[in-house]
Amino acid sequence: MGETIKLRVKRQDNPEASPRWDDFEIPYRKNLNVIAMLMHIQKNPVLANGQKTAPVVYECNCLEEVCGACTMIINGKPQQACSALVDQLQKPITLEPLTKFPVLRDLHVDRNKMFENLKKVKGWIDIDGTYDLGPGPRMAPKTQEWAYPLSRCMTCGCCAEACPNYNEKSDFMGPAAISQVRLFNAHPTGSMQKDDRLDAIMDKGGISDCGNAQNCVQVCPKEIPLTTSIADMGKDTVKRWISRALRA
Amino acid sequence: MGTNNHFAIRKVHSLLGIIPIGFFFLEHTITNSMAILGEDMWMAFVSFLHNLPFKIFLEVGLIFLPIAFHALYGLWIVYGAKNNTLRYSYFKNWMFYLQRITAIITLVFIIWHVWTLKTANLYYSQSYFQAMGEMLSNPLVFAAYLIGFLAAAFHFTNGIWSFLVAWGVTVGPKAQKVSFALCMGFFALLSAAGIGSLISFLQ
Repeated sequence: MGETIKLRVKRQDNPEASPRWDDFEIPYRKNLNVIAMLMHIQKNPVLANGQKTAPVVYECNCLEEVCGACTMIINGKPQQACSALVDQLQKPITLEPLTKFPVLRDLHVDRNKMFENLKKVKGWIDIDGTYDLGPGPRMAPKTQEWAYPLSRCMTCGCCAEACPNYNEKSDFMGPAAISQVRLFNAHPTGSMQKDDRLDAIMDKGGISDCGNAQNCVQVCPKEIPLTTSIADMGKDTVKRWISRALRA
Repeated sequence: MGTNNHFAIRKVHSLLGIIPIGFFFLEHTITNSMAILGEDMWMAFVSFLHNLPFKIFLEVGLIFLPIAFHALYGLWIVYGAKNNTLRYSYFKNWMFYLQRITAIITLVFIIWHVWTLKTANLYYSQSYFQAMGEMLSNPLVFAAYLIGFLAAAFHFTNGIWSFLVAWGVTVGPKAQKVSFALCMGFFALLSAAGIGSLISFLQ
């Protein structure tokens, strides 16, 4: 047997079970990533001490850091297991499920709250309904280029995981949904629902729950300018607040 | 929309930190820094404030009620955070944590500071200035004032930084960096005035 990599995984068998740490040893291969290590355990579910175990449960989909499904805490930092390269990680490698979302099993968490918050802020562009609404207004190429980085958000939850104000004591929706409001409000068709989105982030759990710790922008794997988005929406919500009060 | 005042309450909390609390803190620091220029100068400023008409309404309306609201809602904000500076030891995260720590220190200090001075009622003693000096000659009291003042000054100046972000004045990272440097410069200035006046009372 050649070189092996030590892997420690924080596991729990069901949402109510208390977590435990399991040690694995994975044969080293060049360009190995964390997902490939988990796939190896799937094929050969044996602990470092030789004892058989259930395969580690995890989620993955795109394997190219665009879907966010394999987000977990690797060596203490939230990131995607597919783009976490073993050569660049300190050993032994530790894997933990995200702490801000309910754990279903092992590394598999329920990030539904992220999706619910996108629904709350109408994180979409309205398109034709029962009849054709015709072509929408055009978007300037410059605006398209500006908006592209914001559109790279994959709702992975890293920003929420690192945010001190996103926790079980608070309703805060987290940075991702607020940044999506900025994206869709900048779209010529999306801006038709601009005020609805601003009202949504001025509600409970909205933008005013941000405390400017700015961890989100540090951990975002897509390098989205989340704190700029939040400050920009801060400005728009203040304008909306004053306008709402004066027109009431 | 309009079903709750969540946004409004948070914005009022934020605004009160500057107007009137921040302005009062500034006035308070400037007034007491007159001690650096001597007893007479300090006493002239203090007497002017002491003899303001409707003082009790000014104290309650511009100082007590705003601070009470800011503090009570602020405690709720402090409770709502799960600080994680050990795992995410980024500079701004530390500032976030420090803003909450100084909030608690400042609140405890203000309660003690106002309680002890109001009950002592030193204004009508032979020399208010010397009475303050005697009180501050106790090293424990001096340390409490030093820590209390620095905590308040940091909370105020770092609060200006986050106020500018929350109200969408400083939007980009560079603007926020510059405003932070300016706020910390202001913190240094206030600290010099505060520490200077504390030392001046000792003479």
